[in-house]
Amino acid sequence: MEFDPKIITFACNWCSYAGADLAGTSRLKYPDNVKIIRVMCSGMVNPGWVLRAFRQGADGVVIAGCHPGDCHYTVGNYYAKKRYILLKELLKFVGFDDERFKLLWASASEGKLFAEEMTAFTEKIKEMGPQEKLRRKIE
Amino acid sequence: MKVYAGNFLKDVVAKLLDDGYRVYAPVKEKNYHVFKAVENADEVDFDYINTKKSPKDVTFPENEVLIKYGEWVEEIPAQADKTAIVGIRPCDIQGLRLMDRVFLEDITDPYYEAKRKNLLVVGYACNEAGDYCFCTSVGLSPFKSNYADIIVTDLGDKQVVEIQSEKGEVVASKFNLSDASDEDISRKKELEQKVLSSFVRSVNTENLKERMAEVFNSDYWKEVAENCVSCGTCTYLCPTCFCFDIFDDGELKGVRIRAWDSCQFPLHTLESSSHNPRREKWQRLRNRFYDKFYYMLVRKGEFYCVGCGRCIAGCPVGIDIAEVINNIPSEVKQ
Amino acid sequence: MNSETLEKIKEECRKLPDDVSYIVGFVKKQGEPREVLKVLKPDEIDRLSYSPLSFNNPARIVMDLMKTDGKIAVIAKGCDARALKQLEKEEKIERNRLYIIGISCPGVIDYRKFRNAVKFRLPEIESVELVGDEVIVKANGEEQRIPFSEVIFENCLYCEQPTPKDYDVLIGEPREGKLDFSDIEEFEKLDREERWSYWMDVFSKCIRCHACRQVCPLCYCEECLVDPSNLAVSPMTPAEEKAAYPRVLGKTVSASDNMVYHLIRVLHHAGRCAGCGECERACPMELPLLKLERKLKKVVYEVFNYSPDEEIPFLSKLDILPEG
Repeated sequence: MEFDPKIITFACNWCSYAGADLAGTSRLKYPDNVKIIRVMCSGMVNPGWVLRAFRQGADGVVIAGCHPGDCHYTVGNYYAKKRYILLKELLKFVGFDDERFKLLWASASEGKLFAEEMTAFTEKIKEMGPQEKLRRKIE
Repeated sequence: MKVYAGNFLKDVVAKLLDDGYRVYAPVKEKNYHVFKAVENADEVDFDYINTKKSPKDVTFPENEVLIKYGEWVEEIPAQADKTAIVGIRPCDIQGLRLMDRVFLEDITDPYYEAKRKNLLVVGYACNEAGDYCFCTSVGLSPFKSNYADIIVTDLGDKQVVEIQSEKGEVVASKFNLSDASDEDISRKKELEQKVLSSFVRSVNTENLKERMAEVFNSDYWKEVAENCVSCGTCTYLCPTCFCFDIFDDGELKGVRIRAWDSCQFPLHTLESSSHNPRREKWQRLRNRFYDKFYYMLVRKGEFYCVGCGRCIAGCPVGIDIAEVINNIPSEVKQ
Repeated sequence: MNSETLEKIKEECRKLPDDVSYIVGFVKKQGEPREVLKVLKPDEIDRLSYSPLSFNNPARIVMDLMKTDGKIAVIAKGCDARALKQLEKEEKIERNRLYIIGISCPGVIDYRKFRNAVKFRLPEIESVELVGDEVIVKANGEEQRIPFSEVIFENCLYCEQPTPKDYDVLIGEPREGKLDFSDIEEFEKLDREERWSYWMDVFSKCIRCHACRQVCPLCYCEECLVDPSNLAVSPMTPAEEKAAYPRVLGKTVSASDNMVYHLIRVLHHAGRCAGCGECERACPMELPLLKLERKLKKVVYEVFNYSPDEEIPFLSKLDILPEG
C-alpha cells in the first residue's frame, strides 16, 4: 500500500486560509493529505503545537501565514518566523528530519501558489516516508 | 549461612537469565549506577555504594498502561513475567517492604501485586557507607534484611550467601555452596563492624513523633523551604514515595496511564473546586518530612524513610532531610 | 583566595545602605563542604560564606523576595547577574530595590566531579579554596590539591561574562570572557542519525522530575505547557472545559516524549538563558541539558545577531530577522 502521509497546516485566517479557499474555488487540486487548521494568525502558533502534531503522528507540519509586511495584526508573522527558525534549528540539532517542518508565505490571492507548494511538500514527505522519530510510543 | 567461591551475584544473574527471568541489576552509566533490565551478565557492575535511582520502578514503573481506548475499551490485565532483582541494598529492600505495605495491605493493587508476586529479591550487603547514608539511624542494618530471598555479603575472594526463603532456596540449590567456616563468619563480623564505623551521618529520631507533633505550625518549615524549588527530584528518587496520578493520553484513541506524581508539585493537591490545601511550597515541603517521619509512623507504625540519602545527594539546592529533622526546634517559635 | 573574597563580601555587607532589609548570600551547609543559598538579615553577616562551591543562582530567591518590602542585597557572580538583568528586563524584579554585590568569578566547581575527585569523606572537609589554578581541600590536618581544570563546571569554560556587567560594588579584578561555541560546532559535525541516537540515549534516562524547569530562574510561569492540568480552574469551571484544556504533553516518559518536553522548555529560553547551568546541575540523572541551551544561544547570536546585553528583550525585537 502506498504511504499516505498526514500533513498538518496551520493556516492564518486572513491570508493563507483565504488562499487555500481560493485554490478550492478555482478548482485547483492539491493532495488531500493536507489537513488545514485555521488559526487567527501564524504568530499564534506555539512551537509546542508543532511538536504535539509530530507526537500525534503528523508526517509533516506547515505554518502558513501572510507575506512579511502584510500581517493583519501588523507583526504576527515576524513572530512566527522567529519561532520557526528557533524550532527548526533545534530540531536539526537533535537529529530530527527538520525538512518535515516548513514555513510558507501565501497571500489570499495566491491560491495557485498554495496548491503548488502543498503538492510539492506532500511529494517530498512521501519520498521521506513515515515520521517515526517523535511519534508517541505508548499505544 | 553458606559460602560461594567466586562472584555469586554475577553468576546468579547469568543463571537467572538462562532460566528465563527478567533480571534487574546495577549497570554503570557514565558516572553512576542504575538498576536496569539486563540481557547478559557482563553488563552488570557491582562496584557501587548505591544506585542513583531507587529500584522502585521494578514493581511500580513510572508509566503503567491501565486501559487502551478507541472504538472500544480494552483493559490491560495485571500480569508479570518472572522477574529478579539482583544486588539490591538492604535500605532498598526495606523500601520494597514499605511499598508492599502501601500497595498490598488493606486494599490490594492488582498491578503491583502481579509484579511483586513474581519478584525474586537477591540482596547485597553494604561494604561501606556512603557520605549520605544514614540507614542505621532509622533502625535498619546495612547488611541484614529478613525480607530478601537471598542476601549476599562480599568478602572479596568469596561471598557469603544467606538463604532466607523457599524461593531463594530453589535458586541457591543450583549453585555449589559450602557451609560457612568459623573464619568466614568472623570475617563477616569484622566487615560489619567496619561498615558500621564508616557512617558519617545520623538522624536524631528520639521522641521524633512528639517533637514533630509539636512543631507543625512552626515558622521553621518556612525557613527550611526558603531554597526549595518545588521540583520532584526528592520524591522521584525516593524508594518509598508512592504517589501516582492517572491520566488519559490521546483524545479519541489513546491509553489511560498511571504515572508517578510528587507532593512537591503544586498541582498534586489542587482540587477541582480550585482550592489547594497545600498552596505554598513550604507546606508541600513540610508534607514530605511529615509523611516520612510522622503520618506514616502513625498509620503504619514505622518510618517511611530508609536512610538511603538519595534525596540529599539529588537535591539541587542542598536541602538535607537529616539536617532538617535534626534541627527541628524544641520550642515552637510563634 | 576565597577567604579574601569572603572578607571583602562581609566588609561590603557591613557598609550596605540602611534601607537594605535582606541579604541573599551563601552560608555553609552542615556536614558538607558546599554552600547553600540563604536569606539573611543585615545583622547575620557573620554567617556568610563563599567558596568555589557556592554555585547556586540567587535570582530565583530574589524574585520571591520582591513580594516583600525593603531593599535586597544580593551576592552575584557573572551568570547570576545576567539572570537578574533578564528578570529586570521582564519586569519581574525592580532594579532600584536591588543592591548587587558583584563577584568577578573564576568559575565554580562541579560538585559531582569534586565528590569523585576528593579523597576525604564529605563531612570531614574543613575548607575548599581556589588558589591559582589549584583547588586546595583541607581535612583532618591533611591537604589535597586538585587541578581546577579537573573539577571546574564545564559551562564555566564557555562563560562570556565572568564579571557582572551591572553591579553596585564589584569584588575582584574584572575578568575577560569570550564567546565560544566550539563544543556545539563539534557536535553539529556529527551526522543526523548520530545526533538523534545521542539525544535518544540522553532522554531515555530522563525521569521527568522537572527539576531543570523548577530550578531555572527564567522558568517562572505558574502553569506549564506540560503540566497535566491547568491551574486556571475555578469552582465554576465545568468538567468538560477542564478536560478540553489544551495539553501538549502528559507524563509519559518515553525518550521521544521527554525530548518534546525538553525542546519546549528550552525554546522558552531563547535569547533569555543566563547560562548559569542550574538545569544541568539540578538534573539528578546528570543529563547534558546545557547543550540545547547553548545551541539556541548560538542561533540567537549568529542568525539574529542579538546580544543579551541589549535593553530590549529578544522576544519583542523584530528588526533582527534574517532576510527572506
